[in-house]
Amino acid sequence: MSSDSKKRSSRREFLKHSSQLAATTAIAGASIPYVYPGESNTIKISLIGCGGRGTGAAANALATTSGPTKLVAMAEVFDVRLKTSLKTLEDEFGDQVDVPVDRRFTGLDGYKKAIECLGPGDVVILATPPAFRPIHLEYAVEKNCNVFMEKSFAVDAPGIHRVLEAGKAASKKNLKIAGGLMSRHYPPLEEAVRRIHDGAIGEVITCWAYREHEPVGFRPKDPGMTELAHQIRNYSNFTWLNGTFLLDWLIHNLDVCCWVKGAWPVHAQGQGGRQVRQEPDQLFDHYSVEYSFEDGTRLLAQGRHMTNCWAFFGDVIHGSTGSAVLGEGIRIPQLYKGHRQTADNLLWQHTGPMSNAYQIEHDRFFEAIRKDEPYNEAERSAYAAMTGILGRMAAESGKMVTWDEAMASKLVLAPGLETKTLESDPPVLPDSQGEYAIAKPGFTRVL
Amino acid sequence: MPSPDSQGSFKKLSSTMPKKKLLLLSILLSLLVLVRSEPLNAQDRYTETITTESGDEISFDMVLIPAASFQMGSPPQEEGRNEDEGPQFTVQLSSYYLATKETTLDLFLAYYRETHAPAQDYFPGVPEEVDAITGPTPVYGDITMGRGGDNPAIGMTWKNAVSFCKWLSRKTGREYRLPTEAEWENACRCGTDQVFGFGNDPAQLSTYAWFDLGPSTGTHEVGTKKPNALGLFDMHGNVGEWVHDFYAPDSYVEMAQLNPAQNPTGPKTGKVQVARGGNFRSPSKALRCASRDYEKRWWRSGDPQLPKSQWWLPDMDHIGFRVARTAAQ
Repeated sequence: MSSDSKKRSSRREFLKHSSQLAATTAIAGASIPYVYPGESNTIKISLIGCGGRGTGAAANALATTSGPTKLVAMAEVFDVRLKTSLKTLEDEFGDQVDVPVDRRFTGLDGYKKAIECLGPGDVVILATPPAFRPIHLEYAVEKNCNVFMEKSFAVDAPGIHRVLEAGKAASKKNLKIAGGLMSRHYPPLEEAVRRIHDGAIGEVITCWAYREHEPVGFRPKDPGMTELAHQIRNYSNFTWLNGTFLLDWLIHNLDVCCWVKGAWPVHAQGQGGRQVRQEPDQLFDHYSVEYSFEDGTRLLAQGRHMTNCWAFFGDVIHGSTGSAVLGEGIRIPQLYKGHRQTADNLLWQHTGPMSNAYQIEHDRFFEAIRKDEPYNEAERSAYAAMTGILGRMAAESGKMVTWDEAMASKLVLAPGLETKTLESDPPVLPDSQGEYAIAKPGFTRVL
Repeated sequence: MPSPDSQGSFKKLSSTMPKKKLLLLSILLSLLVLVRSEPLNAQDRYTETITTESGDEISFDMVLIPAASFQMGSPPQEEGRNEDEGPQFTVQLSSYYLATKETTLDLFLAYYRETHAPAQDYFPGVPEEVDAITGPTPVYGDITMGRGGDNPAIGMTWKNAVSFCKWLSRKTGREYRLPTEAEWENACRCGTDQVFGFGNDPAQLSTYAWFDLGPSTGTHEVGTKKPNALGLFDMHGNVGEWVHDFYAPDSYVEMAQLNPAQNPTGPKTGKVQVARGGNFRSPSKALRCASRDYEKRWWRSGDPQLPKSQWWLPDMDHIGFRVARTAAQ
């Protein structure tokens, strides 16, 4: 195949070129054309963040079939977690996992070393808590690596801008960036959204995003664990790490609503609080945010994490002639005529085979790398995250916040995160009772 | 004494049977009478009631399935049959109780709320069993998947279903467990050797079962179709039901050599377990008494984590279970 041999030769030329560059040390920022491996070249992978999802993402990457892949380095704050992850992957992928002791990195600066184990055009998987995403993404792009980054992508507006800038830099270097909003790669949902865009339920008037379920878990602090390590271990429970549930957990549902609507919101107002939850952390246990789009239509997002309450996880869309139930939490998207979602009113539902969006998002990403096709999800990933951040700002402040105000915010939730070690103080500390500051609508500053 | 219900039903069944089968059934029934002439402490049917931590009462019914001998598996000529359903072999079972309905979401949520672990974690040094009952990790989604409390519990791994049984046993003081695969099939067959518990005609299925009949977006409330002759609802369809046994495609080959197999419990080791009865999405052939389903790799594909959750099969809205209990001998 002529195209294949062209790719292979490009890769060879590139490798030659890059080794020359490497010899001159500072390759950072160098403009390198055609950073892509052909189908027969092994793409090396570094995994940054070896929790359950990071390990799962590495497995998805190693399971792609567009060409050979190999996991070569891992970075993780906690040594025990790295070992679990490595063993799990070795058991499943054998020789595809080649991470000797000198390519296992722990601590908060391990990401740099793991990325440095790669060559240009290889793949970094970023799966740490989202607070670290902008820092890690910037470094991976600086080192000319393609990136798969798990959701979410930043916790504050300055972080969003860093992701946007890194995304632009990646495009200039012909690097591919995938963002882990797998709903966008779920064929049944793609079909449903295509049908809505083709007018199946008329003009989209209202979107509802729900994530209502049982309380969120919490691990008490182990003796001997530093406060920062404790918070990272419970990263879902601290605002500077996960940006609240509106962002980190509702992001799929928010993103799908905005995808269906074909727009990002222009402003938001909302509310939230902590009615039942007792765990020593910063979580609201309920929240509700009303977003408005440019055309005046609304998106209402709500979450509740309480026991013995009604539960629902998914999106409900109302159009001028019909409605839809879909999104994260709804495996089989459904379109209905009218606004009552009954079997009699069913217009369409997915009936095809099962598919695994977590695998498909990696299949498409690796294929784009192999075929050198444009692939950069950084911008829409950043905007999806910004939608969540805007919601947090509205709910925590109790104010109406515009998209532009939010984007212009200079507030950094974790100043100096780059230089922290596990022994550093985290941005929030418990008081004498062991309690943490919780946002107070009307008083909390969010911009 | 067998309950009037089950006796009456057996009679009804026998009136429609050919003579050879009648003879077989009468032998079987006399066997039953022999075994059952021993005193049974348990009653033929009882209602179990638990009180949840939030003060709600939840009840379910257990019915005694008499000791029996039956042919397990399907004959080679059965339509829709799979290889793993053979060869047929004789099973002798002691009496046992089986829940008349699939375990409901209400009951399963009560278990979850009382036992779940503090948080999902990947620290191997942290022991998983916090107390006597190993509780599941928190679910960061809707456990009900949008279904009501009287619908069957769904989306749990086999381990989670077993853990539920342990909790229920502690809660009630009676030893609950999953039925063995043989117990399940015996209860589904209701003493017949027909394709379905009610006969051979798939056209009658919709009287007894929720299965693939056009658009269907989920499970249905338990016990809303006609029960079988033993008073058991939804043995065909609604949700596939976990049973005790490991799955092996050739497990019947080994058991057939025992002839009869007494209270068989399946292969000693294995990687995945069997689920029986088909579900609301299944074609009729998967609802046959002999049809065996088992955990497939894709059942965990909705779980983006690795190692995969030991407790949950995210998105698997068609896998549930019902409980069994060994009857006092």
